[in-house]
Amino acid sequence: MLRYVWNRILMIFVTLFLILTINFLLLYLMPGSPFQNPRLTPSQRERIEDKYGLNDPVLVQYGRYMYKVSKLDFGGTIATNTYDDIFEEYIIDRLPLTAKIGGIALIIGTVIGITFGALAAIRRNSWLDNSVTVLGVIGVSIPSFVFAAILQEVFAINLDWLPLFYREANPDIGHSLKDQNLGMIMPIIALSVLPIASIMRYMRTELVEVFSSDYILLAQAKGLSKPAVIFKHAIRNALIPVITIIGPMAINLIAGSLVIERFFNIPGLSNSLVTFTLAKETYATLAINFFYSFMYVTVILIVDILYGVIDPRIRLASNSKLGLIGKLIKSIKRKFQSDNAGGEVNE
Amino acid sequence: MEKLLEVKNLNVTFETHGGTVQAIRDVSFDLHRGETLAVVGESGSGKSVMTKSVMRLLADNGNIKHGEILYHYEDGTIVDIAKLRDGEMHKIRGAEIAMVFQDPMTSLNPTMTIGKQIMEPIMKHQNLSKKDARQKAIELISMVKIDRPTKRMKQYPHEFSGGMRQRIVIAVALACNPNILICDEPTTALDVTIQAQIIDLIKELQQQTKAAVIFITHDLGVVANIADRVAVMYAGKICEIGTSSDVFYTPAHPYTWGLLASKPNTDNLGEKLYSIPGTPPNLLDPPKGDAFALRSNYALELDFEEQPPMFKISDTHYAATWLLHPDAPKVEPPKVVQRRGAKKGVTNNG
Ligand SMILES: Nc1ncnc2c1ncn2[C@@H]1O[C@H](COP(=O)(O)OP(=O)(O)OP(=O)(O)O)[C@@H](O)[C@H]1O
Ligand SMILES: [Mg+2]
Repeated sequence: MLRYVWNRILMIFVTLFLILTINFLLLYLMPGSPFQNPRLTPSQRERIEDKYGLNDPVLVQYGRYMYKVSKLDFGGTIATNTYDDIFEEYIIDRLPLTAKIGGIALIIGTVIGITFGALAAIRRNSWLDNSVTVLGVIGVSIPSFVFAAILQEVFAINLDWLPLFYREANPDIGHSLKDQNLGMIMPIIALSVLPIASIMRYMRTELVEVFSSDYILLAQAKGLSKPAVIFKHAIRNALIPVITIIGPMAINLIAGSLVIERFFNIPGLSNSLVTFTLAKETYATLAINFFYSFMYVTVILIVDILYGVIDPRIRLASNSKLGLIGKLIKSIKRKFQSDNAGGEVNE
Repeated sequence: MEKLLEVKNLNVTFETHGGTVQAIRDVSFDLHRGETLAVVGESGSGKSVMTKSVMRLLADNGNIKHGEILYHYEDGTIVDIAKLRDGEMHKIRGAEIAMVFQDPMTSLNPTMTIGKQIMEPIMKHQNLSKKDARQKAIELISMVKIDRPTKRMKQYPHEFSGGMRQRIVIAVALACNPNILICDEPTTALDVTIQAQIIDLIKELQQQTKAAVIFITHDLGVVANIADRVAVMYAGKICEIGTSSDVFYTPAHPYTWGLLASKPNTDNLGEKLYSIPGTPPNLLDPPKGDAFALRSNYALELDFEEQPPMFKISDTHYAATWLLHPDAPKVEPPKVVQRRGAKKGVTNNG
């Protein structure tokens, strides 16, 4: 297991390096400048850009940037001339809100998705199953901002139950904590639609498949009651593949939050990413980008480890400290021994 | 002999988009304590559906349309499995009637230890403590001849070969000393040497436990090896049933003739193997008369018109063909089959 995790961590470094490189190049190719003040004359702008090395050859800029990154300095914003560490400036400050909204949406999505997906599979072809199928298709095919717009129209404008935009609690201008929390409800719902729908559909398919497998028939043939068959044999096996999509799901949420945070005017990290990208703030964009990528690969690593905990087949294949060849020899040996012992090999 | 199971006029259907599949049509048979009944017949003839009905493990779209499946408890009480409530059925499954399936690679739960899977029916049906159940499970693993049983308890199915997994499935099935063990092609998915070992194991355990065995197979060699009686199924019906020697040496139904003639053995050595022409009938709309008539060289006109009843040939031997009617023309079974019959006197079929 340790070796497995170690290999995976190495892969993470390679992945992150590639992500930074590609993104750096893409941002370099993007037209525009961080210095977009219309009052600047072209020559003034060029001078400022020269000062920050923005007109150097791309390889020089890239090398300079990577050197700084290797010292864990991700730079800051260029135009506002704050070369402070962007991590302190933005990520630490703005991440909690994004994480909170995304995390709650993911938890809601997972719990509701798994529950209703499982219920649909258990009561196959019932009205519940049919609704799950229809709602699932709607949920995955309509983008979250459409739901956001509908929610705003209904609950903020028509019913006036919830605030149209997110407002930070600020007693000075009469915004209470309650206002702040109410403001999070619609973004969370809008964001959770996709995870609910995808996890629900996935869970249903997996469980239906598990139900038709021979080991479920054997469990029934043992005389186990229906709940025992479902909870002891079916759910666990169906959850294994479902868990693997929760990682990618979390990442989809980041993409979703890019739009939703702007939609509800939430001062979160995703909102900043969009702002920085539009302003061609290369370093700040890359820093947030790097951070999201880091989250992505970490989430996937955690999911894979969890997967190993649940699925004994993977756990065993990876817990050996032997190399690949050693493992192969050992498994052949083991098979040979057990076959012999079981009397399977005829001499 | 003491009766364990009486199936009477069983009809099983499946609702499908194409219509109602009549998978089992009016099947009746008895099963006695300690005997082995082999069920043979082409793919799709209803062997699995028949045994799954006995366990009430039909797919959701399956129904026992009518008929009785009477199970005789040891104390003499008789219940009709076809009408039993689910709760009662759970007490029969695994405890009174147990089942071994075709594919050992898929019939064990991949995420549960072997030990837990064997202990499950024990804990469910016998009032044993966890510790005693564990002990019992360990004994069962050694009973099916797998070494280091204590260590095996903690292992997962993927650490076992196919043959060993089937042994484990057998251990699960025998965990609560069932009176009936249903084996649905338990060796089809295994390679030949292991097939023989599994069959020997089943035979040996049957003698130990005195369970009655219903053994589904395509392999007539296996049938001759283990069966006391044989039921031949065709298109959802039993077309012939009798002792092994009845069916092997004096078969009466043209389908059985075809089945025996199409199997290589010492009687047709060197000859071109016979194969039954045509395909089995569509069970969405089964033919009116004898379902085999269309493919039979021996069909009488009446066979196309009316379903033949089960004719009694002897106390143990029955077959459903109009050829057995007293007024039917006398026909000769194929040569191979006749030669077999002639050998009956000299060969004593175990
Ligand atoms: N769930 C189902 N829905 C519809 N038809 C079914 C279903 N299960 C079985 N059948 C039909 O019932 C008939 C008997 O099937 P069964 O599985 O009993 O055959 P079998 O004799 O066991 O064949 P094999 O030797 O291939 O195992 C087949 O025609 C099959 O198509
Ligand atoms: Mg079958």
